[in-house]
Amino acid sequence: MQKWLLILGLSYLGILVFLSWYSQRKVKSQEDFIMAGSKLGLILGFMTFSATLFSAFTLMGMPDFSRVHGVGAWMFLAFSDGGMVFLILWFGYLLRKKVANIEFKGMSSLLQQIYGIKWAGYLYFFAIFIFLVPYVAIQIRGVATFLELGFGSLQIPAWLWSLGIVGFVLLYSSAGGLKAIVYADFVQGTSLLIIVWIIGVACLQNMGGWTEMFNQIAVKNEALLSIPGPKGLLTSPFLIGSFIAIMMIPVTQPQLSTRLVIMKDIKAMNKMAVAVGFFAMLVIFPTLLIGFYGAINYPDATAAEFIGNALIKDQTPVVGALAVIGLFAAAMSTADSQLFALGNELRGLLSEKARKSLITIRLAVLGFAASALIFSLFSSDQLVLLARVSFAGTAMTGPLILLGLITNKPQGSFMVWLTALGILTFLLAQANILPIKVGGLGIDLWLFIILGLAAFANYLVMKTKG
Amino acid sequence: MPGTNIKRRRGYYNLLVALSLLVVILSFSPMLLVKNKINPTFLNMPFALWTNILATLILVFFTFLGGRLRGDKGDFSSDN
Repeated sequence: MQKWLLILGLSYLGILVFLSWYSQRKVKSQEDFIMAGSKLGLILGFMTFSATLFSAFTLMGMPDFSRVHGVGAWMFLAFSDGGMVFLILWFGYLLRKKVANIEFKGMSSLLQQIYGIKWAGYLYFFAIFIFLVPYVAIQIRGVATFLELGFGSLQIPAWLWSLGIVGFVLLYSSAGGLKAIVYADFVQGTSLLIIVWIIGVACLQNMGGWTEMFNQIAVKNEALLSIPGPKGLLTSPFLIGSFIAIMMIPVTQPQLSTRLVIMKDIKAMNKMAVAVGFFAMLVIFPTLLIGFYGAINYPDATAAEFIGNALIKDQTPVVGALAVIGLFAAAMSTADSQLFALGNELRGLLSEKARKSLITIRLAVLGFAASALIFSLFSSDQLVLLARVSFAGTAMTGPLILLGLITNKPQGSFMVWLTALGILTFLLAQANILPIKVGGLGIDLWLFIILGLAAFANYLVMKTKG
Repeated sequence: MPGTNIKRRRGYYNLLVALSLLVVILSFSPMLLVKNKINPTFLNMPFALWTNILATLILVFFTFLGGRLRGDKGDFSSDN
């Protein structure tokens, strides 16, 4: 397999280097570097959105999640993505309308302008920093741990693999900016889709086909064929909380809201939303097949053992090598966009003078990459559940953002402070200082309801006042 | 009558939003989200899987319809 890995790996890295060089040549202005020229068409737009959305969390996390929790994994992610793409039609329109006549310098800066309060931007930045850096870290960590186990003979520790991933991301994103990331996303998204299907079909054949797969699962563990799954995790409150958190990702996570802004026009953005919906189904379905394969063959293995076997050891050498490349691609495609978006958000909060230099954003991206790298040394391997915390955490800012976008009237500072309180409560619950569940419902779901109702009430009050 | 056209499109779109909400509510309701329910199966898929795949397909199809209704400018004004 190592021969194939060398051939495919060098080809893949070569393509990324070429794309980085190609986009660097095309960068003529700050706008090109930061916003990729803001003229993305349907194909590039949907691939960069999809590749940013689906990450190592998809290729490593989802098979393990469906292995452990069964068919409800589809509802957890794919159905939530269905809601998300529908929301894009409305949210994307609102956002683009709001920034049509101003320079979009990131959501933090936009919130400062909308609310007329500096702290609105700082709060948003704090939220994405505190929840996105760990999200980047767990993906890097997941892939690095997997590579360390899979290539034990090379004696490369996980931290060195992590350094390699982050280093490469920094190399091409700081050279070609968002344009390089968008081109890389195209390659990475395509690779992810092809690889996950090759492995999914191989797993299906190994299980004896479609019907036999379900028969074997029924014998092994029938609870996998229904909700809430064998561990009882996928209950209505958990799934509803996940639905809201995932649906809010384009609203609250800057790497995706930026992609809505840089689409060529609304028509392309709407088509992109539909394409992302199909992509989501296409990419999630085979992860279920891989998960079911694991449920039958490796029910008691650890996540790393299962992934190592299902994606590499049980596959032909060329497919195994492709899986490794796919994992690299998946981790990089999300990490690059998130780190760059964090850099851009920080830049938006700086003074006009500091903002004019591209060195600022490059240094910021470097700083965030270092933070993610350090965090990756200490994070756990529960990819999906940690990702869900990240989604739910950033989703706390959703009502604040939507309230600011739906109206042109000043909305006061109430929602800014209430959102701050909501984020603090969520963090304290994650640290087990406050209860994670209240009255049978998760604290995240309570906070979504409270913040959503408060934003609506705020809107009505301000409308009456005006 | 462009004004009438916009009104009609907006009306259909609002209906689509209501239908999408209905799909979401039904999907999380005890009618479809039933504990330990495997039958009826469809193409050998257990109940929770095929109903959810169907619901996801409907939401994506609604996204397609919604995009058409909102038009090229997103404000219901342009014809496709």
